[in-house]
Amino acid sequence: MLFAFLAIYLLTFLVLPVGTMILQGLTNNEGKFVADHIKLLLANPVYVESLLNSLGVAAGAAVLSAVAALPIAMVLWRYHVRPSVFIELCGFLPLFVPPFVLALSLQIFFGRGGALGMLFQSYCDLDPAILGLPSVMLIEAMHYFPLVLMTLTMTTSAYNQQAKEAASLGSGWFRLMTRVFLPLGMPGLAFGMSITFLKTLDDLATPLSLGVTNLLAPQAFLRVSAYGSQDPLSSLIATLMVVISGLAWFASIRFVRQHVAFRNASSVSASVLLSKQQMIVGITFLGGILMLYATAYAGVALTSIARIWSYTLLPESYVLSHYLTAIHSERGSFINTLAYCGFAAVLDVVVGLVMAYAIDCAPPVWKRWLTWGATGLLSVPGVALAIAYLQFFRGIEVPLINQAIDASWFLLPMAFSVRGLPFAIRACSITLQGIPASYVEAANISGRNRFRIFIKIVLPMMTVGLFVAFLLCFGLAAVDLSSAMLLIPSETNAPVSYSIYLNMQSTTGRGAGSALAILSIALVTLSLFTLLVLIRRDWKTVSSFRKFVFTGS
Amino acid sequence: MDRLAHFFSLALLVIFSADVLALESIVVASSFPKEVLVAYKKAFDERNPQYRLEFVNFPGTNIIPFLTDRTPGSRPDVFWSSSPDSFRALLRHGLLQTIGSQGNPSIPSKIGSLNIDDPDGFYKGQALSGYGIMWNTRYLSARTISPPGTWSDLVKPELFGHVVMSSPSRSGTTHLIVESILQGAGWENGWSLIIQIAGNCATITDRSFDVPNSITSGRFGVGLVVDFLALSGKYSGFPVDFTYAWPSAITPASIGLVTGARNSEGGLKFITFALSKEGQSLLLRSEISRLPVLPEIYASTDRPADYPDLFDVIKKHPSTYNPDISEARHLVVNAIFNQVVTFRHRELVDVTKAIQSAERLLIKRPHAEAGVLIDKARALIYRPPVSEKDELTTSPQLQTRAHIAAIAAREAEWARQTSKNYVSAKKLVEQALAMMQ
Repeated sequence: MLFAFLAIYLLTFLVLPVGTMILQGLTNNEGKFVADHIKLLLANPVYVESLLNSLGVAAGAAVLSAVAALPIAMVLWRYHVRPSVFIELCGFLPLFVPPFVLALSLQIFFGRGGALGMLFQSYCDLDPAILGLPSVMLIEAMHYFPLVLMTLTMTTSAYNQQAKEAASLGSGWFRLMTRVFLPLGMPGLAFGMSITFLKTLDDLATPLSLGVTNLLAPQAFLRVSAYGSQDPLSSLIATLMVVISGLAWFASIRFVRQHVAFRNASSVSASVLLSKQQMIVGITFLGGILMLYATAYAGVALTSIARIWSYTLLPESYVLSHYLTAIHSERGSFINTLAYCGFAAVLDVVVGLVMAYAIDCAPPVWKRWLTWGATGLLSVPGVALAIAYLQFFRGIEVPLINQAIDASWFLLPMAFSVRGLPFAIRACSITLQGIPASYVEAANISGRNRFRIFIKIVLPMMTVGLFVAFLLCFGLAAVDLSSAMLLIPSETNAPVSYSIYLNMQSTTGRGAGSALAILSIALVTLSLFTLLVLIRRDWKTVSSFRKFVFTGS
Repeated sequence: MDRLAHFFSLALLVIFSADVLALESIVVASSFPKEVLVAYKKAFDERNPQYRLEFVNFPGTNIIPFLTDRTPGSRPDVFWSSSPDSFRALLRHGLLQTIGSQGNPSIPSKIGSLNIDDPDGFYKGQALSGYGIMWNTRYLSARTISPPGTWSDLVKPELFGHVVMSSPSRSGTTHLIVESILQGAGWENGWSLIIQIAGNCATITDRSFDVPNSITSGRFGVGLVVDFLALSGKYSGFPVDFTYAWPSAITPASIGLVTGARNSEGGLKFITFALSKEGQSLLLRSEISRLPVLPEIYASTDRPADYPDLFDVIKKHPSTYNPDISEARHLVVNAIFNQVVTFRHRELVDVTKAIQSAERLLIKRPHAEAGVLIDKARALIYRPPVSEKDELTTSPQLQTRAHIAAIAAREAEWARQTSKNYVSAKKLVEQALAMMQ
């Protein structure tokens, strides 16, 4: 029954729409396979260039964030500076804030109109839009850098103490770095890098806000909004994006397939006082990073309280009314985000659990292939999925409410759930593997049926893992602007990220949009803090949180 | 954890039940900025508590694919936009319902030679728009640049890197500016002017709003905009100013009822509200600053002293713009701009910069041959890739897969040619520079 539900869900919201989209690009009006559209695509140098640019920018952002994170993580590891769990959680902030906010903030702060950009304009033009393509890469790298850094420190920090002991026994730090740190950090690094790659490839609002169009996602979006979903070339570009994401995901899983043994959770030293030297290192690096991001978001923060800011170093006058406007007119979008992303994340956890269970039960030979296949197929970029939905669900009515499905909000959470599924599957399979087989066997022997075992033993042991999976899927959905931009039936149904985007399109300063962005960052930080307070009661959580991010398939 | 789960399920239940119990919604597709939409929503919802006004925001130029991608019953109820071409295109695709004589009888259906309403009653004029140039006074005076007076001023080398515009495929008002230049100055000269202006642009923005935004904040100096986007900034206290430019167009921003609307009755209610005295006076708000079509509004005293007057604007700026010509070649003009300007902006800016510096040198060190080379380079890049008489631009077609494929084939051709032209032009300018050294 559960498997039937799963099959219907995957067929309806993934296989059939994406299949239709692929066919749309490869067939002519009579439904015959033709190469005409592929020829058309290849004939235009803009599309070939967009393909190369997309690959370059996405890979560049991933490498750049890794290059920036590696030395810092190494130093922190070397000096045993372990960021607090709250700071580690803050590393996940990028998952909840759309990167175009950073792009706009940098434009405000480094553009010619104010602050640093105005100060330095006679020496150099710092406006990120002037730089074009490299700006997209830099901004995406900067946006996802905290995530990469935190996944790295979280994978490696468990072995800090042993490393120190090994070093005191005569193994040099350099040797420890190359022999211990790097192999340990690789899974975390690969995970962070693959998220950066996939999200950059799919990002629509960041390049568009910087005036960059020669990338796959903007090209597909521009074509589908100018010619409609019947346009064969946008289907082809979207197909290309599906293939690239699939391959990237596949590659990242190959990287992290080794199993990382984790220290017993109870032995994680919770409160070891840092020495003076350690404090200096910690404060320099973490404080430096904090300063960097405070500057980067200063543009948006200042705009959110500025009344008039035009070609002066700082705003001329300040008001708080933008916050009132944002709360008053856009409070619905917070509820929408909760509803869509919550719905999508719950669905993800349920489906992810079933799929993870199915993969777990499969014969060992099949296991790896199933994992790769399932996750590879599922990593469909938002633009591509939205185009597929526009084509597939055109004119289909929902029986009970008598409304066309594409005119309701329903497609948006479904798209979000499909996009979050690969992450949910991994999270669930790791959580499943963490349950000792002996408990289940013991229950079996004492005569309990499978359902009772699941309810009484398996589920309670998985609660925290599933909650983390829920949170991750929720976050990924909350910033998924690419599908929202194409699927949203009306602004009333918009999630926060799209409301920020719309409110930034104002003619009289970007006050309300900026206020909304700051509000959502504050809300996420607050939620993360609350989460921390909730989970801190049980240190096991920390371990499973860490475990979830790094262990292989 | 249990408590948390309960909280979530309760929250979801409340949200979903709220959605089911929701008021009757009216969905308006519009390309207007948030300021306009928020003001109308607030006013309309207060007066009509049984309805909930909702908006869906995208460029007016994309209305045809937006509607054809959705079957009747899934479409918005009302389309409200500054783009007259879009209304013509909707008519040709049979996507508008007639409103007939409903609306506000006090609004004249014609002012001077300008039709405010559709003669067959399919859409109504709701506000007037003129097009021109806005600038940031502080930005320009810091660089001692005098404010431009008309479109051709925007190609001056002193404005290189200080101009900003949007793309006609992403902004109905930019499409109108491009078309009014093409119709007023002629196809070849018009394109030459447009591409030269684009060469002076720091960036081509994704939506029309980004242009006034960049100017009000002082990020860039000069922008090509529809009047109200500039005036709203000016009357909200930003150091910006605006002038109508020639060749220009004065066009009505219109409102119409979509075929296949979910809620035609409610849609009509909103249209009537937008045309009523209340709806018209909202236009005078500083954050909106549009020209109402209801003459009695101009008698009101609560508008700024230098607020443009409808009749004045129409008299001073005779329109050379023909929406039928514009509509027939709508997709093609957008496609040309994208292939020649938007997707090749970096190259265009690069060559424009080279040409301008070569020309500066030419004045100091006159050189006949070098001058010829520079002229050749200009002729290569500042021209349309296709003639006005081309079949594509003269025969309006429905947006079908075949037509889209036909345009895509030509786009590929233009893109290849444009890339080559930019490379050759750069070489020509480099040769000219070498001659003058």
